[in-house]
Amino acid sequence: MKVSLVLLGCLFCMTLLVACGAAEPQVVERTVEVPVEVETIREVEVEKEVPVEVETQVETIREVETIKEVETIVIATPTPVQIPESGDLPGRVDPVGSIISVSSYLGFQGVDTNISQDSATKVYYDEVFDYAIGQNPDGTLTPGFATKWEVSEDQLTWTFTIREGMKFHNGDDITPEDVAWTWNRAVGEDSLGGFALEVGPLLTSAFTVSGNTVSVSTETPQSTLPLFFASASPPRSVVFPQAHFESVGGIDNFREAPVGSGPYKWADRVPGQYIQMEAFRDHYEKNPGYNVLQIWDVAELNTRMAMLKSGNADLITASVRSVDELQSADLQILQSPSANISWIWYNYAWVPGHPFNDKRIREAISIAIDREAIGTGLYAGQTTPACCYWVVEGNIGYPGDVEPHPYDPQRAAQLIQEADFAGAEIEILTFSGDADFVDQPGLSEAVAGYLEAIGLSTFVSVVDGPVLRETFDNAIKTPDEIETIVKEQPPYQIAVRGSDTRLHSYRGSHIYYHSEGRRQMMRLPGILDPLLDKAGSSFDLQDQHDAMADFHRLLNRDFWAGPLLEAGAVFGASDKVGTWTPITGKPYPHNHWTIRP
Amino acid sequence: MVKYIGFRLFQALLGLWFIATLVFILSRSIGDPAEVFTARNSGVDAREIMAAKLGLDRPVHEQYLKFLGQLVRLDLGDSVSNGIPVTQILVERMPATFTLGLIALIFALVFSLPLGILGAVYRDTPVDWVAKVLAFLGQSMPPFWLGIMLIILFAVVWGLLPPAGKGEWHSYILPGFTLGWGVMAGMVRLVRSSMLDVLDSDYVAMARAKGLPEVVVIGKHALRNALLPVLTYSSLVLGAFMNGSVVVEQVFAWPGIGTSAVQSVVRRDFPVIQGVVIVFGSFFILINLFVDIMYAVIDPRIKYTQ
Repeated sequence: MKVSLVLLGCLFCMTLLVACGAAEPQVVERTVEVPVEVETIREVEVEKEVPVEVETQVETIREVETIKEVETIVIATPTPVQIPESGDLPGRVDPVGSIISVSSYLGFQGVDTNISQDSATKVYYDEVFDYAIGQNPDGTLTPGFATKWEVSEDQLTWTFTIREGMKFHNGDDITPEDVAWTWNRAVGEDSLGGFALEVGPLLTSAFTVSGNTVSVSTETPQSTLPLFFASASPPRSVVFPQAHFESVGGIDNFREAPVGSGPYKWADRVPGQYIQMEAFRDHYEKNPGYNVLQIWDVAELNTRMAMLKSGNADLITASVRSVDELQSADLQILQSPSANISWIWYNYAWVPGHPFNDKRIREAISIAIDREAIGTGLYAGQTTPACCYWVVEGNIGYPGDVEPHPYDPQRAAQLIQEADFAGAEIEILTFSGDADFVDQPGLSEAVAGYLEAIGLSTFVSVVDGPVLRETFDNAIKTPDEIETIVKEQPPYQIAVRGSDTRLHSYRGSHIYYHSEGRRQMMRLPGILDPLLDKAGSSFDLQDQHDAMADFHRLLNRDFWAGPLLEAGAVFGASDKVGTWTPITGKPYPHNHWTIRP
Repeated sequence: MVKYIGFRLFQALLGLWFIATLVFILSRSIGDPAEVFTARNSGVDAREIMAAKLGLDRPVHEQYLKFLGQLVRLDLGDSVSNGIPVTQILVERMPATFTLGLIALIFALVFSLPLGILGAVYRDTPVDWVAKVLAFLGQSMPPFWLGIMLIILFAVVWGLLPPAGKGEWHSYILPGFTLGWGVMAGMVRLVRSSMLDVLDSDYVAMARAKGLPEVVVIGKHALRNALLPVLTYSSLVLGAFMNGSVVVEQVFAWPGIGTSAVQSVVRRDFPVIQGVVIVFGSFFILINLFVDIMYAVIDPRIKYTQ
């Protein structure tokens, strides 16, 4: 025993010695990027292919469907758009007092655009920083620190005109050089931020400065590139002060005291608790109503409600299930309309031979669900049945003439019998809590109940993102793997998912529905690809809208996706909040600068 | 004594090494951390960049040795979700968790010792019954429920205490009580049963026979011996507080390691998860080491025997 212990101890010491010796000193390398202007002239041949099959299908749609006229929605304009008059946004005031805003953003994720960051970080990003392109209360885009954005004649170079006279919080001017430097850093080789992963592969040049403009070239025409520079997207197109950033030694120190240009400037951060900001009175446009803004991170909804009720919070992220409680406590209920949407995904629906490839089964599953009843029973009537995947009224591509799938359990049961699918076992994958949509497990259980009623056998599996992606992501599977999976016995898998609604669903739809998309949850190259290609290649906004509208009509009509419910983001507020202008589609507290006593 | 302490130290180091090795193995056995984290951003390039960042592109044995070397230098890497060094995150959060655990333990001891002693001394009287009922309630009320109820009562209805967050001294009351309540229940029972054993012993009968006041008999002669199991339990509890404060920290938005652990699990922030597990495990081992040493100090009869 003694000998073995001694031997174990020696082994341990040896391991430590080797480990200390093997430990490599950290070498810090800094790469300084120097943007180089390269002028290239090239001729690009654009081939237009019109597959006969697809064209026929599109024509069929137009023959059958009645297309209503939709409003032209301005997304990119060569001239600045006037911000709507008061009634939409408040006028200038002298800031007073303080305000406490409480939500759940899962911790401070820093301010480094070289790291992949999700929309939850916009709770503080949107206050401290400005974006190249902003967003009006109705969700449409408006100039930010870029007054206009234009594409060249060959459609390969986008140019952003940078607003003059803007200041950072430390008093430095915002220059086009700062913008180019920040964006080049974000798409750098070692960057894992959204810019690098989604925009980087599209670019053929660095961001370059010419006068008061910043330009970048793309490999192919990218009509929706400006969306990446909008505040509607995760934080990417913010601008850092290059001189200050470098003077403090880089991101590690900059992160502790970020300097932006937004309506609030960074004051303090108590790790794990709150971020405190102070009004920036020299903002060119946004005039906060309060001197001090504290943004707290509180995961538990009951605790947030208690903070609001006890006067320890002024604005909180609530839930559609909190409406009754807020009303009985005589608190204000505010909503960001149509912030979230839920839907059903069918795994391997595109694979011939798989049950979900049978439209009858997809239709049966969707029409077996009583969306109105779920909205009433589970969400206190605060949801509405959704017609489309990812888009709601006002979004680019919202068809406007498509109804939510009806509730028809008799037909659903009949279809199941016809398809010889009765008794089949279906696994419903979903996320826990309110990850993508309020009470996803509850919603999934409700869906399971309706499917059981039409003769299917179901069970719900609560998983996390990586598991869901691995299960559904066809892009990471080989054709042999897919064939093997298809031949396997049930359970057949569907997912009850949710997400924020999208001002323009092209990008997300391409990722998930295009055969060359990064995720490929669905593959219908002859059917969906042409519509998405048309939306992505056209620089005419109406064409983009029409193509995406056709895309959503197809998904709805052929049940490739089963939209479930739309829900607004519910916020509770105390009397300290006089007026507030939430932006449609935002599920988190935002636009704090528009709060007036 | 020195030999005893030295050997316990050696055992503690072995335990730390075992935990570190286990963390290393487990974090790689659940799949490729680089793929897990970059999957949502996809792209082979992204995965390769992340793998290089995390050192996952090297052979496993090299990764292991590098991992141990970094641990010795207290370098736990950087968080993949915010780039902040894991050590910095833990150092920022540890004081909050530690103070909350200490306050919960103090609360548990302050209430359980008198209740347990009185329950033993006045066995089968109303005092004893009160102690038993409190112990029962303490063990049957889950902390997440108790915490929310206390917030509603003391913060919302009566407005006496803050509902969440760490601030002035009164912000420690509700979370400390919630965390310590269940432990207090167990300690009441332990103190009571330990006191009952000691009160029936010969030397206590001798002390009474000598005519010593009952307060001296109980406080000086009986209690000291009855405290040994309480000491052991307290150490285990303190270690458990560090780990088990996750729920309480979530309910009270307490900025401790528990909250950070939950966030890092949700975000699959693997370096932080690793760091939290190592810190929790290390803390447990160190507390046990401290208790073992204190044992030898309190009771000279205790020696390490092989």
